[in-house]
Amino acid sequence: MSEAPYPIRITALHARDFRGVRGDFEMKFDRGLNLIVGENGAGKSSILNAIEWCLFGAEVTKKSSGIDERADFEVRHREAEGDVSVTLELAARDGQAKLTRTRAADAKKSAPDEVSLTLPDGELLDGEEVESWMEWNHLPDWSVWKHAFCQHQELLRARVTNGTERSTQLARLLGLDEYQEWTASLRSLKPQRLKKVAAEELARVEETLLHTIDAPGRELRELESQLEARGVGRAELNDDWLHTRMTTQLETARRIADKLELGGEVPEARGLSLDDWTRWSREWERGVSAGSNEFERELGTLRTRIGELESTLAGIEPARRAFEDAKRALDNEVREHGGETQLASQLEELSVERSRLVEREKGRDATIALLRHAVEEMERRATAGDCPVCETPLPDLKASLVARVEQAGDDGERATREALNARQTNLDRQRATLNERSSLLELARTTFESLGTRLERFIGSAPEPARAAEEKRREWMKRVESLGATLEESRRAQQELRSERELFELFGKWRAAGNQAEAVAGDLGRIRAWVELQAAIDEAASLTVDLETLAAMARSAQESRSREKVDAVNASLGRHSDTITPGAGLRVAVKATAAQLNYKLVNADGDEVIPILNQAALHALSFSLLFAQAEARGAAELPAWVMLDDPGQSLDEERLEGLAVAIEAVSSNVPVIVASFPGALESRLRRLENCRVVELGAPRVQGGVVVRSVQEGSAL
Amino acid sequence: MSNLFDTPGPAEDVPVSAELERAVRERGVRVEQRLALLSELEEEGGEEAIEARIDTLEDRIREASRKVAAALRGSGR
Amino acid sequence: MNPATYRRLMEMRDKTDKEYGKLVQKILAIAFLETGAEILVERSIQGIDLDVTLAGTRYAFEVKTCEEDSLTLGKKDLAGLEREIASGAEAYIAVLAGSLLDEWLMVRYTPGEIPPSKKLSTFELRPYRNRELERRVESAFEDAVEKHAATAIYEKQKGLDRELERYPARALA
Repeated sequence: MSEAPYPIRITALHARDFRGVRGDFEMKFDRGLNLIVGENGAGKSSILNAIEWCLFGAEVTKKSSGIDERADFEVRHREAEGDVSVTLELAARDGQAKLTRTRAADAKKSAPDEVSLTLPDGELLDGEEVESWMEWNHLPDWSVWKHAFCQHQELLRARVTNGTERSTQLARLLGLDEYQEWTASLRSLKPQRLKKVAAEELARVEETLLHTIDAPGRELRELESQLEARGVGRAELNDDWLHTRMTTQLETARRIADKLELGGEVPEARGLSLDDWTRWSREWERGVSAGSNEFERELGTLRTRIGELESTLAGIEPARRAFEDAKRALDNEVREHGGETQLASQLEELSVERSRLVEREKGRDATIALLRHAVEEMERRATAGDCPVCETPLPDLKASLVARVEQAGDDGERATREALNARQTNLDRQRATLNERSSLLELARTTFESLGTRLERFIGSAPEPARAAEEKRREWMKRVESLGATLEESRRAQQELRSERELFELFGKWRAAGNQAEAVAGDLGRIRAWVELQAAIDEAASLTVDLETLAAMARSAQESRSREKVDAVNASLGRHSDTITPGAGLRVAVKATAAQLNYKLVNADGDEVIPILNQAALHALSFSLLFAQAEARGAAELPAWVMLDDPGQSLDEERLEGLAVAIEAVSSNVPVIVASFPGALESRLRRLENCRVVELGAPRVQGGVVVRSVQEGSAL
Repeated sequence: MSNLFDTPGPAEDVPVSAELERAVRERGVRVEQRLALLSELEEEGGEEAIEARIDTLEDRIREASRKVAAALRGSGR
Repeated sequence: MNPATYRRLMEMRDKTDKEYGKLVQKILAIAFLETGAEILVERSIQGIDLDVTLAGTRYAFEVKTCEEDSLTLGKKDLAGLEREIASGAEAYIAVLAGSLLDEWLMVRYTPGEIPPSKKLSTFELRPYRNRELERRVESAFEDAVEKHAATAIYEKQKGLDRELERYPARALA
């Protein structure tokens, strides 16, 4: 817990080589109004910055300071060679304390500053101890500084135009900024989503559980529906029904097995379980299938034979007729022209005659040759009319010989030759015909005989082959019918058995589902994950409820505090606001929602003022808030002072006078330090009794702050 | 500057955390748990730690729910 | 909850409509009596719903059944509980929500902790549960539902009152 507050204030500043300060610089501060006057560049801002830097160090130099322009804030004077330091003398409860911040000349950018605090009793604190002392003594942090101590140009408008910032500012005014932060922090955590997640997951689990419990029932109903579709109603479904149908199947199976001449036992129905029946039925089916194959083969063979028999029977008569026709044709030929023997004899004769003819022709040719030779001889000799032999003169001999030669070519032999050729041709033709008819006869015989042989194979040597064949055919047809019927019956029996098996399977499932439907499914308590789920939800619920309760408690506390403080603050705010902007009549109004409290600035009619103010008015309002906060702290005996850096530049003429009056009023309650360019405001303030004026000289060429004059004020 | 009549000034605001601690004790429900939560929130990174707890709880709930559903579906055969 | 019990309760709700809450209250009373309550006062009209003494400690119960996971406690309910606290009892809200997963929640009431007229879900009541009380009545309640559901459906409150009268520990208001 903190001590009772004491309004610590700054009494003096010592700076060395800090920003615009070259070398050493000192300045005192009074309780009341401290006015620092100087042209641009004289070092006014450096003095105010020095106070800030000593108190807050690196926080004031970064962009995260909330002041964008501080991003490249240089601490050291450019000409400096040694360390940078700033010391603030503070009037504390027990006397003077000195707060010193030093930055070594060779310190790296990220290295921390050295901070020390000498207490009134001489004790030296450093590092975290200094921070603790500052906190213990209610000195502001950087955030409070920006809103309740120091006006920064850059933040001037932000102070009031941003709605959340405004509410926070006003909460701070009421001393409730910490509450704001707590409720905002608690609100930012959103444990309520755990409630949503828990509800979702439990709904999912319930759905699955219902599905699981219902599963056997659903299955049962589905199976009953399938059985119904197969003509078995719910009322029939029992063991008797099963037994009756099993028995029927067994009897059929026995009958079929006999017909197929299968071996093997067909069991008795009594005491046969469904499983056993099912096993037997599959075996039976296999056996019947094998037996049926044999019958199928026999059936196929018989059918083939019947086909052959029928085609034989159909072909044998025509074959017989063809044979007889061929025989008849040959006989006719022989009768007409003789047979082979006769033909051969005729051909022999012809051959002899042809030989004789050839001889005769040979003789003739020899004679002709001789005659030709005689003619040639006669021509060769001079005596052409003489006989070549006896040389008797024969004047016509040559002519006669030539005529004899000519004549020899034309004799009756030609006619004989032609006649012989004609007879040859005729005989050849007869031979061809005879051959052809003989071949046909042979073919017909072969065909007829082979059909006969085939028939004999089927019927043996029966006296009446046709009748025997027909009988045989009928016998076979009968067998085919019988086999066919047996096979058909077997096929139907197999199909029926399969169908019954499927039906019994459904029945088995139905019976099992019926047993299960009564059982309690999914006993959750035994599932480890369920226990874990419950534990996780319990933890989630506890965290959610606790956070929500704390948020409600914070809100409730804030509300009662707000009620306590709002009147006192409104008096101060209204006064300052009316001073700077007459007739503004501003006050803080508290708007409470279930979750949080918001603070608004309203006018006398209760209307929110911000949207309608112009820039200068906003600045004036901003000052009013600053002053009101400082006064509130002062009234609470907390460390408080106001630092203003050239406040006049942001106000119009009308409000400058009001500002001066407001500054005067504030400075009678808390110390005020104003840095100002020479002008209307400075002139106005300078005249105030409690105003200590430090005039800074023109900036030196080599830099540094110079105090030209000091005008003491009358201390309060 | 001190009060004219030299009476103690308006009481220094009790820190919110102390206020809440008092309220929790007064309510008397889940005192230990709520005080622990307050301590956690006051620490640096406390909010983040609690956010992380919320995230973890969400994951635990979903994972456990998934396992329950799987166990139920398995038992339903 | 046991699925069979759940089915019975749903059947009861369907067939008894507005009286369902009162009937469940009476069956809960029977469950307490079955597990050895020394004194039990059950009220259907004014006052606290169940006043039960167990092992010397007096418990006051406001009994709530809800179909969806949502209930509201009125100012009268909470005022009644606060009166009971003032007279030395431990005050509880006994909640039975309407899903298969729900069990009895025995929620300890502390003034200020639960705001009146706010819509609450069982999630928000979990941190205040008394597991011992819940375990005590769990299976006794299932048995009582099994045994008396038919009476509840066909004879309603009168029938259950008759059953309650059988217990010596059952005192009149």
